[in-house]
Amino acid sequence: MAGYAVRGLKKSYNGSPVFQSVNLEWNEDGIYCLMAPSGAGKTTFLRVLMGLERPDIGILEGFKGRRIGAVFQEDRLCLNLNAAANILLIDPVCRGEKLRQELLWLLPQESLDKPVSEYSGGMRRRVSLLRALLSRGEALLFDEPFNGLDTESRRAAIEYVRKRRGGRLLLFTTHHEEEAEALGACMLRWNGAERTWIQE
Amino acid sequence: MKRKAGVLLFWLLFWQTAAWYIHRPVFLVGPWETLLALGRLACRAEFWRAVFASLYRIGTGFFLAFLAGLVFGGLAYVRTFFRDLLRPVILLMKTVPVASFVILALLWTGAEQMTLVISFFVVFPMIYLNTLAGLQAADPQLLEMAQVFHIRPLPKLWQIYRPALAPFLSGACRMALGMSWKSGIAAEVIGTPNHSIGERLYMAKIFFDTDELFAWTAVVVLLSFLFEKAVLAFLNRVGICEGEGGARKGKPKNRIG
Repeated sequence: MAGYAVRGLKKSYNGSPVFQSVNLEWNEDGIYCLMAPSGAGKTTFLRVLMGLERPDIGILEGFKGRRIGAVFQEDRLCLNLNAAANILLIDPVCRGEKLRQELLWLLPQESLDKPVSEYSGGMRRRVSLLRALLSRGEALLFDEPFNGLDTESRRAAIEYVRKRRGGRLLLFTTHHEEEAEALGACMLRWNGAERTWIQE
Repeated sequence: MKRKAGVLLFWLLFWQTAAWYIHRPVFLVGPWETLLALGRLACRAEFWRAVFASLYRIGTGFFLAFLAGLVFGGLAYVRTFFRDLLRPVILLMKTVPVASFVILALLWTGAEQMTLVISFFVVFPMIYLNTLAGLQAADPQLLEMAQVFHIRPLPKLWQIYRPALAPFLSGACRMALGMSWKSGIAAEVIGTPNHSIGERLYMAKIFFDTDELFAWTAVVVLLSFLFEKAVLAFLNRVGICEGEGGARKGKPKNRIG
């Protein structure tokens, strides 16, 4: 039996459907990539899975009551706190020196004591990625997690995701197919005519 | 800084010259006479008794109103029922003239406690409304993040709500601190409780001691100023209000909760 699934999921705004009749099943430890042009409602789809929006109709299986490790489209960090404090806020799996070591995978040493407000956009993105991966979330839902990262830090970030995913479901959106390939993700394609997602 | 001192000096000289020119100490006394009167007053035990009694009443009223404003503002944020329930009360507190309150408070509590009640009534709506507005200003994106990650209430309060609340609260405090003194002293003049600055002001008026009237006024201004500084410094220390001149920079905090 699949760990997670959606059945007959539909969501519309002001009468026009964002997506409809979405039927998907996901393995508990699978990696899946949602590919679609902008405006196809990837973000809305993830927000429904996160429980932030109610679907019009349809069933979510496996998500209810489970913690989620999320990377939002925006970074959503507390700007006056440093990276470690931001992550400690969500009760991560590790603290103290161990947490510091984890941060050093993706962040330069000299940045660690600074508030996030002094970080560059790419660094903030990496903090929000670290936060999701170090959370106790049982499923990982990432909305364009590598957005705004340069080639080098993108490779490091992808490597870090492979390392710390820990057999959890990972569902992420992207515009770049090579990210999906690098993570060995199963592709979910957007059918624009039906306004639905299809698993390859 | 230099210009500030110059401006101050200019107006002091203007004041002094005006006093000399008018030459009617009943109408206007100069800064020098005011200072002399102040020195004379400060030598009496009764002066300090009045100062501390008024400070105590106005301060207690402010403190209680601040706490109540925070608590009820929080309740109103969490439950719209409370917001609707309190709306007419707050409106009433904001619009009823202080003088009417004073007379009522005199009837209810007597002259002694009245200043405290007035200080409370003036401060409470400001703190309440700004607490509510500050909580409502919390970043909805961060609140969603907190929901998804199951952040516990206390860290959420401290790291997401507090930064949003701080500018509203410090603005409200600045305004409320000044208002509590103005209306508190006005209430004392009307109710003339024993051993109070208001009573002294009233006496000065009856006996045409204009120099003492000015001296007491100077005392109120000074007390109000010092009280405001002390309260804001304390709130800033606790982290509820923003410091003067904006955000504290370069002080990353690791502690949460």
